[in-house]
Amino acid sequence: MYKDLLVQSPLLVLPIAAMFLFLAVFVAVAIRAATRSREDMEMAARLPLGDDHDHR
Amino acid sequence: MTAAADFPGSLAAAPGDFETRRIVYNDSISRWFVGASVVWGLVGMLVGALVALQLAWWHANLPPYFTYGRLRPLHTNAVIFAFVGNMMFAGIYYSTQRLVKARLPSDLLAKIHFWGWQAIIVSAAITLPLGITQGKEYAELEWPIDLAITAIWIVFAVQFFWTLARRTEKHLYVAIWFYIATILTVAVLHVVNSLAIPVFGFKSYSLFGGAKDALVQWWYGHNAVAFVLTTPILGIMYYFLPKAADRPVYSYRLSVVHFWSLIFVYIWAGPHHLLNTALPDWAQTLGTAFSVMLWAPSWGGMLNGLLTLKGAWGKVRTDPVLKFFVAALTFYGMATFEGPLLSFKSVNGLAHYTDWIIAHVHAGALGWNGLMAAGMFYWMVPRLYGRDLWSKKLADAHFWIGTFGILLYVISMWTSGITQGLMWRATDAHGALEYPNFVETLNAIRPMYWMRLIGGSMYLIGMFMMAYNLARTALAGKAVDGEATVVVERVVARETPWAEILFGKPVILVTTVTILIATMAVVNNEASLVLSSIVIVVAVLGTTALHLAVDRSRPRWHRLLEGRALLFSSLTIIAVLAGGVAELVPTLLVTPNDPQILAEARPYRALELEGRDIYVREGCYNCHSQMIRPFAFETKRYGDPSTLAESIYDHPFQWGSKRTGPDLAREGDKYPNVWHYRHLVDARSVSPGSNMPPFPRLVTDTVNLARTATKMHALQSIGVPYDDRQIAAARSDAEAQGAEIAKNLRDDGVAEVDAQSEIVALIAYLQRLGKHPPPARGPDVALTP
Ligand code: HEC
Repeated sequence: MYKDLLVQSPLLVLPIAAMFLFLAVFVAVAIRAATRSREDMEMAARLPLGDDHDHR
Repeated sequence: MTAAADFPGSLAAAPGDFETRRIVYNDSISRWFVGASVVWGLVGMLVGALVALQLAWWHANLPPYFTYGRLRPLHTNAVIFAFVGNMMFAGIYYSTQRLVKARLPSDLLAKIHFWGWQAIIVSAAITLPLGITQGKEYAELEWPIDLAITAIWIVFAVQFFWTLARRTEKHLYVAIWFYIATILTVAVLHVVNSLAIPVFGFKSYSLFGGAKDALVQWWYGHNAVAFVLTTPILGIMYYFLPKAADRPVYSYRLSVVHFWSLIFVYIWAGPHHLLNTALPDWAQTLGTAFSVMLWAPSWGGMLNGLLTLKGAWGKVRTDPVLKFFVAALTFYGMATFEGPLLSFKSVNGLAHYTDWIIAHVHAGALGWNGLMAAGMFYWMVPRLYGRDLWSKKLADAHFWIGTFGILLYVISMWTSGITQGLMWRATDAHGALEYPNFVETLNAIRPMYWMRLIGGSMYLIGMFMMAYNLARTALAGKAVDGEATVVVERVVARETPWAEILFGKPVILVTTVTILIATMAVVNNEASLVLSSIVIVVAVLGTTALHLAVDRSRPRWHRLLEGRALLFSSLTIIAVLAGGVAELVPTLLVTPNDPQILAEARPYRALELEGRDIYVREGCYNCHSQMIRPFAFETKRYGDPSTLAESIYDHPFQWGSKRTGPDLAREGDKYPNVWHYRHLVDARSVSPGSNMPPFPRLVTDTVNLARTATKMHALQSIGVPYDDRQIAAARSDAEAQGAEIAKNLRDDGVAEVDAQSEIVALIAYLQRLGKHPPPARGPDVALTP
């Protein structure tokens, strides 16, 4: 299948390579997110809360 | 080091190093944008109801300015860029100031942004009914307006990043990431897709032609959905939903994964708008693959939102704001489940060109965007005006009538789409089409058109209720601006130097892998694929392992990144560009060199070109495709499948996306000229039951042939192979062709025909569709077939 594709143009290695790259980044991000500390995450998650005086 | 080191802004310091500062936010800007969004939302949906009526009852077309072909772009542009656009600016400005604890730095820029954007909308509302259009969906506005959009977008970006630069909260909350991705990606999309060569003040031709234009357009079109209708609204969801529920988002980890996977995957899915067309197979396959992948992050985001309400469901029952958010997320889930489904070639074969797609987009626009907007407004306006919502009951009523309206809309369009799709492909025992007359399939779905109108109108009534409720709230209160007290350091904390980030492991990893792949690609195409996959897997596993093993006390890479708005932005844009470039470049570079394509293709004659411009101006492409797919039922109805060659000189391409009427790719010679003449004046006279708008003005208005040569010259400069002789003879050739058609019409009984009338030019174009005139040989033969 890849062979068929590349016969059309060597440039087609671009999308394929990029796709693999993206998958790699995805895996990396997932691992990073999973390994971050709980306090970090909770602190970040609380950012929208209690940021303002309610004038109503 | 302590945990504080992870937050460069909150480094432990001696007590004396801090000062307390009071911030008053610029909330006027949000008040204006909310007002504008509500007003334009009403206008855009009113036009929506009008075009829905026009499809059900053709008399609602008021030529020349208010026909379906001209108003449908007005409806889509108004809803996307005026209603959702203004809503998104309101939400972004409101939440960003609070999330980064800084006031917008410039009130002047805020005013320019607001009034500039409204001026663009007004110019769209004027030019589109006038027929001034580039003929590309959701990018119809002509080049001067495109330039204005670019300028205003830059103003917005400057204001936004300047705010981030002045922030007193170092960590950038996930909503901000979504906003950054929005600002940068929309800029890229808009600029690339708007690339055009101006011919006159309000006329231009797309720089790209045929399949290339199609790919660029749908890369843009799809990502307009992604980065105008999705990412900013997700950011808004991540801010306003936790606020309204008064609890943090269910999983911040999930939101990180959600963000990166969404922006990485979205940018690729555009070709799913071009499945089964003449677009190269590999691009179609990529479109399908990425669309299916998109399902995961979309549902991740939806679940993250819904689970935030875990334990707060009691509140959902009583609070209209949460009710709207929950329903919006549910519709988001529905639409993002349907999207990947529609990206399978087989499903797409049935659904494409039908009302099923209309159902899909309205589940998104009315359900996800419209209900998110309502929830946000009901939350914000009371706070912006310092009093409770005028009527909770009315908001509840809005919720129910709106939701019911969407369901009615979506169900009627599903039914309509599937019914018509099945009728188009129905064949009898002998393999002949069961419904060869297109109008039969139109009549079958007409009741659904009425039901859609009712559903849409109910939604619109809900919008009016909301407008009234919000206006009463605002009038009874008075404008108040949010305030906050922040503790800031007197001395700016030292941030980790750029070098440390630039040479951090993830950057090194990604760069190395890219270089490796590029090298191998050059050396040996086929081997590189296998090798590069292995390299990547090894590199990822290796670095991850290494990373987990090393000293955990050093500041985390990703944390530093978040504190660095600029670098973060660069990485986002690389992510987005990489997808776009990898997908677009092969098509943009490869196709034009194909000698076979070039041998077959022939540019339009002068009068045909003028006819084509009328076709674009009237928005015929809103109802007619010019792309025959390789299905037996389709070739039986319309002729041989379309080839890339046939549209290669079409700037812009006119493949279309919806078949309210039949495909026109091989319309040439199908009917005599006089049929087209009568049909264009009033379709019912030759095709009873048709809902095509009447175009009587085409008979009396004439083509300005003095401008034709200039147009051909412009096209020549972007690669359409006109030679100078043809351009010089443009006028005489157009007159000759016009005279011939006019004579033929008179012979067939049409009383008065002006050879230079627009209808003659349009007929010349329609009769040329799907025809291959012989190649030009000598100076004399060149201009007369
Ligand atoms: C509201 C949607 C709509 C718009 C806009 C529209 N059409 Fe049509 N058109 C139809 C429908 C429906 C039919 C099929 C019934 C009929 O023949 O009228 C049709 C049929 C046709 C046909 C005959 C096709 C065939 O092979 O039988 C031609 C040619 C045509 N339209 C040209 C145009 C042109 C040119 C424009 C723009 C000036 C245009 N249409 C705009 C809906 C539309």
